[in-house]
Amino acid sequence: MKMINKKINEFIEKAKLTDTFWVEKAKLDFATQLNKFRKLSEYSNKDLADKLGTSPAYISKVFRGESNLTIESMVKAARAANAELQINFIPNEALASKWLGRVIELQNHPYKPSAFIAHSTRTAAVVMAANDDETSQELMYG
Amino acid sequence: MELKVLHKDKYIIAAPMNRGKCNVEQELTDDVDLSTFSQRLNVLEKLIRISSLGIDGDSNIWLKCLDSKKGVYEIKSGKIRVFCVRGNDGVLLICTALLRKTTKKADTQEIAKAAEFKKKYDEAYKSNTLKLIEDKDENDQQKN
Repeated sequence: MKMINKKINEFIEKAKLTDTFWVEKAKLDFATQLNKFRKLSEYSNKDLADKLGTSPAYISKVFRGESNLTIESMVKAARAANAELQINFIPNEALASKWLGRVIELQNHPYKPSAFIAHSTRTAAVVMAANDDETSQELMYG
Repeated sequence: MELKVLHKDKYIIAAPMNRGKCNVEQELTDDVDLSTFSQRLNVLEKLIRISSLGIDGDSNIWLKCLDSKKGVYEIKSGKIRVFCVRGNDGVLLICTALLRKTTKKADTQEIAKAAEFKKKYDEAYKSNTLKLIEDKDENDQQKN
């Protein structure tokens, strides 16, 4: 079970209401992915820098999440690490809860085929699982 | 010696307590200093990920080893620098200090201070006088 320091937990929960939190998270997510593919490609930081025509110091800065990259730079970096950039939106808790609620309503509807309901519930649960929701975990895994 | 747990996943990230206060915790969660808000969030997010991944492997992009003999590391974002040393058992990292610095090189005095702390920590670990202070798990609190 994860345990977070109360003050830090409160600070992060407040920060989640700001764009800044999600920007920093996205930078580190990108850095993690880029580093993963750099390793898979058996490249050093210098190899990656050479492929991008930049310096190893710049690559370190990207890995530290200190660069605010453009989509063009992200695409180039991903391609240099033998990958393709894929952008996914996932619903926030409010939107996912709204749709899960509707699916659960459908479950009790007498005229809906059960297969459709099962499929819809599962889809919603998958979406919710992305947000670490306990209800969706139950729906997915019983 | 008392250490405050900052985050606990697979490994524990902690910081020293001094007269009932944890300076690193206070500096990280400071609501007043908005100029370093994004940088402190960046460092916190790194600490949380390191707590899950460990020091080696994928998280080594965020940990700069300042002195391998003394085992002093640095986590940096902009002008925020957190000095860390490795702990024992499940305690992975102990954040000894948080500084706001714009200079490129890490302060040698801070490295020395971190190394000194590491010595004291090792002594406390050996003599079994280490105390880890945790806030109660939120889920446990709800159950109670």
